[in-house]
Amino acid sequence: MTNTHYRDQLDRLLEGFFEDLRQLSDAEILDKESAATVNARVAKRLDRASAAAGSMRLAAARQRMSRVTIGTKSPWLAVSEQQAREYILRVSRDSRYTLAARSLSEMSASEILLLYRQLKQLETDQTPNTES
Amino acid sequence: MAVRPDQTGRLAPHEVRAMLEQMSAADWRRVERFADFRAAGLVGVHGEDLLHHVITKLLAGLRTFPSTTSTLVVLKNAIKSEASNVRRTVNRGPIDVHAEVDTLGLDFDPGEHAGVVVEAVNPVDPLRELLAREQLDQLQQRLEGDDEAQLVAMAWGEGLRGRPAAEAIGLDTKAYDAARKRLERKIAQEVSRQ
Repeated sequence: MTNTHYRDQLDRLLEGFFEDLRQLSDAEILDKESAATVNARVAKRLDRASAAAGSMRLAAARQRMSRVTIGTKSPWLAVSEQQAREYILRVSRDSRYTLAARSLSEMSASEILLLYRQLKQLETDQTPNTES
Repeated sequence: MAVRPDQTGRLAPHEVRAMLEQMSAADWRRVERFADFRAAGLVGVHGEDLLHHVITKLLAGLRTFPSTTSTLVVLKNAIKSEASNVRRTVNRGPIDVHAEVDTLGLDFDPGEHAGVVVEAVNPVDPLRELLAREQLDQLQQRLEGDDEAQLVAMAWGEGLRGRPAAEAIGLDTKAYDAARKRLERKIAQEVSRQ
């Protein structure tokens, strides 16, 4: 008794059928149907799939956004740029964190706020009960 | 229209659409017939459903379209893969978080989606084995009463094709061709295509 898995057997069966289809002539494969009829059906199929693909890409983008976006209910979102800078300065002296050696003065307000949020998120993840 | 794959050797979604549009009507009929054959035995799933699922994922960039592979083969491989996913989904419920995909992607069901999945690496998955056996059994049931068609299916299952298959099962070329055609007619679902 060979150690043949059913999955392999099914796969070979499918490949055999596929090769069979490839060896048929175009006339045989089209049978009584015209190429124009087939192409019209294909065009509709592609249009339907394109529309569905758009929805799928949107869903994928939303999921990616939800992973990088800080929760809107987080209390530490409501902070001024100055407060964010002061916090980052304190953190930079904390040995638990490694920050790129880039002067805070070189960073824009949006960069400061984004870094602040990332640090707060990191802090929250590490110490869930830590007060912000 | 020439397409230029990105540096990873994959086509971009708009290039995928171009390749699909360029495929001949005869090759599209091959794809349709293969999808119908593959869908046979899948509860509530028709070949057109499989095709839609596969093409949608290709156009969304959630399934790889290798630049060095013909469109026909890309679709064939995708149909085989998605049919397994669909079969596992029906068996487990609406969300299949272990679906095997070739690249990072979502499992798409209209209206809902699973999380990002990691490709399962399990050469002998008991569930897939069970499902494959069920489908083989169903295929054989459909061929009940037609010994020659059953023999052709068995020969293909052993990896034999064409003349070697015919010789192995003791049929001449004419009888083999006739049995092969009956095999497909008996198995493939009749799908009303618009």
